[in-house]
Amino acid sequence: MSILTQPIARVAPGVPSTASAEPHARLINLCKRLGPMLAVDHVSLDIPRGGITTLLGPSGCGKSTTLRLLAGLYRPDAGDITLDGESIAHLPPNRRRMTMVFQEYALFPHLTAAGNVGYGLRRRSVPAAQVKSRVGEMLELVGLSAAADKYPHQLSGGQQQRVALARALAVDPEVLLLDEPLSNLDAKLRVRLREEIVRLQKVLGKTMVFVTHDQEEALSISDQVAVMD
Amino acid sequence: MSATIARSRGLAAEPGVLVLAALTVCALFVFVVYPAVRVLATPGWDEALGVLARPRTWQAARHSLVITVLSTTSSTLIGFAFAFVATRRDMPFRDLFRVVGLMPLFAPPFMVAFAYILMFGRQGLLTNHLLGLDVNIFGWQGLWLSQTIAFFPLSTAIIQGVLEGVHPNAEQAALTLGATESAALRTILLPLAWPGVIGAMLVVAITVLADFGNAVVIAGNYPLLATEAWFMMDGLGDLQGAAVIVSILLVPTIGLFIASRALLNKREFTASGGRGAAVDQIATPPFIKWSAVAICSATSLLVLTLYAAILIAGLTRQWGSDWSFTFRHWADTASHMDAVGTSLLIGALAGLVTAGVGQIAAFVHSRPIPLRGLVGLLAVLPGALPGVFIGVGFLLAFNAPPLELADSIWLIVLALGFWHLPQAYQSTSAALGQIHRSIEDSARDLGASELRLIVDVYAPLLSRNLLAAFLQCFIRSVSNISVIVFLISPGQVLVAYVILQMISGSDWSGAAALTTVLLAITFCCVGLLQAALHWIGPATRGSQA
Ligand SMILES: Nc1ncnc2c1ncn2[C@@H]1O[C@H](COP(=O)(O)OP(=O)(O)OP(=O)(O)O)[C@@H](O)[C@H]1O
Ligand SMILES: [Mg+2]
Repeated sequence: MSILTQPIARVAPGVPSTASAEPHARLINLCKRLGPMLAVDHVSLDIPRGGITTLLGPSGCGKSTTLRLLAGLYRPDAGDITLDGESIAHLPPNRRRMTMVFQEYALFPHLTAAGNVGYGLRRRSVPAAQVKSRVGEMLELVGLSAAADKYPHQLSGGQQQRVALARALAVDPEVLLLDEPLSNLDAKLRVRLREEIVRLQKVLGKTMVFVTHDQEEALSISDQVAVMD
Repeated sequence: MSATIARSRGLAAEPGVLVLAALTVCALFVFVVYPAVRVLATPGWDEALGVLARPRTWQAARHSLVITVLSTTSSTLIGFAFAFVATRRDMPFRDLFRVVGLMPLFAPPFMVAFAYILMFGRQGLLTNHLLGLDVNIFGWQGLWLSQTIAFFPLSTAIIQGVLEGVHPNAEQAALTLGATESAALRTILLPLAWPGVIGAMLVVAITVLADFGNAVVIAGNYPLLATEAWFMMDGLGDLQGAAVIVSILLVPTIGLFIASRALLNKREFTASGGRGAAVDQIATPPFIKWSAVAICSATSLLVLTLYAAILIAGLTRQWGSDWSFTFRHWADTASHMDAVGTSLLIGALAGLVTAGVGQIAAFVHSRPIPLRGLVGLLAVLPGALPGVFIGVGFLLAFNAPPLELADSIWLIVLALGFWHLPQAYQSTSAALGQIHRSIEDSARDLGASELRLIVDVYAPLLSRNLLAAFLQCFIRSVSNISVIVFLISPGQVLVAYVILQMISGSDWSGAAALTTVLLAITFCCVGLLQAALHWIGPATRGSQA
């Protein structure tokens, strides 16, 4: 349904110094059919290292699907995905080293904030002491140290979103995928959190792919904007 | 202060509601509290101590405990498998398992045990006729298996509700964080399902403890509390002794009931949002998938076999000796049509009582008036009372003036009607909650007139509900056995009682034919209900989208 046009705007021409000429990840002619719908139709995109790339487009144009293809939650019908030049299209999501922040956060309701943030580390059999210190570090990074023992239903929307961010960052992913992470928040909080995301990106130098349908949001945070229609 | 103001305004504004509330409380006191109090208060100390001193009482209590643990565990395990298969998109035979997994709910309370004897007993079609074995299945093993099959659908329903509440995104998030599919199920789905599993165990345990139909048919010389109560009354003519036994039985059921209510009230973290797209669900690991399918297949095969046993036995000349085909028993059921008619009448009246009182109680409970909490409590209380307790209670309470109902069908109608109240009350309460939400939605929806609202929201929701509550009570009442064995008077004939007598008189083919009639009635009603619900339209406007 949708065709990706290559970057049309470079808001911050000076991509951070960590970026190299070689793209960190590449989507090559990706196609994905969902039901009767060709949700992603021949999408190609280079994602530079250490910057925020935004996928901007109207509802239903296939932004989420593209992100899920990247994460490995869907298998592409055609095309390829590479990370550092190597194809990863055949890898399951748990071996891709890309984590995702979902639109509705998808926090684990039965785990505390700390439990959520430490989940990925425990799956990697990181020793408990290390998990604990890393979790503390991540919660501090998003300013939620005080809420470590609270359950998701005891947290506000903005706090939940921060937990989701910390959880995705805790495992030190190669690429962080964010699917409209701010759309469930009110306008004021949205601006605050997106500044926070930019700050985190600067601090950690992570490669991020950010999905939104809000043009202003896209322009204000991205190093590169890709428009889908 | 503001609470009192609001409350007194409610008082002033709605005197009609207050009168209704008072009437509801009266009715609940007379038909729920009073019989229960009579059971607990009737036996004297000597009587009670005498019953407690009998070794058989303690043996029955121990047996009830053992069988409850066994049947609850196995029912919940199988129920989980069915719920799991029903909620995973990548399961083979899903629709088949869904249908077969509901079938035991429609079986009369004695049917599973009876069919089990027909197939696997000493003269069983499979064990004796085909395999030439001589087995004795009377006792705890047969009861265990029968109860497992009869009650697993209860746990399926509860666990399925919880599994459906788990958002597929949570499993996906686990995968992206490095979990394998089986780790995601183990660390996300399983802990989230846990409250549902516990809730299911509590509900099944209450049902197993109270089970009379299967026990009376297959338990043989294995005394249990529920059957012992009837033995006390029917065999020894000792109604006071029966009251002591059912009071003992009440202790664990009340405890389990309170625990299940408490669990229901703190389910905050299971409700993690609506259902995501099915396509978003992660793949089920093959080992887990095929284990679940294997459990469901074996169980389904057994369920279908048991239904087939009833059908075949009704068409067999003489079960165990003459296997030739005949329609004679089906034709003979015509001679029991008076029993069928009386049972249908009782079922219909009990259904009306349940649906009517349930709606009124739910309505009263939804208003800001005094006593609403009491109404809510008394309306769900019968859920904690075993059928034999209700039976003994109504016998003690209404067999003599001031409220004499003996020998009229109203004794049985009121007992069954009030016993089934909780389901009707709870579903109506839920529907009223949904209506309140829909009203809020519509208020935002410009141009939604009052009339539209009533036509669109109130009418379909409440009539759906009324019908479902009526039919559920009707179906259960027509085939009820645990309550009616205490209340039936010598002149009365009821179809379930007739069948029970035929089973104990070894007229198995006749009993099976009459059970077939009962099943036909049940499935016709379910079909009619489906058609009616379809005609009424969808539950909410939201669900059309
Ligand atoms: N599970 C599904 N089955 C069938 N079609 C689907 C499914 N999921 C998405 N689609 C369709 O695929 C297209 C792309 O969906 P996608 O979720 O990627 O869009 P999006 O750009 O993220 O939209 P939004 O901004 O609303 O989130 C849509 O037209 C949608 O209707
Ligand atoms: Mg989307």
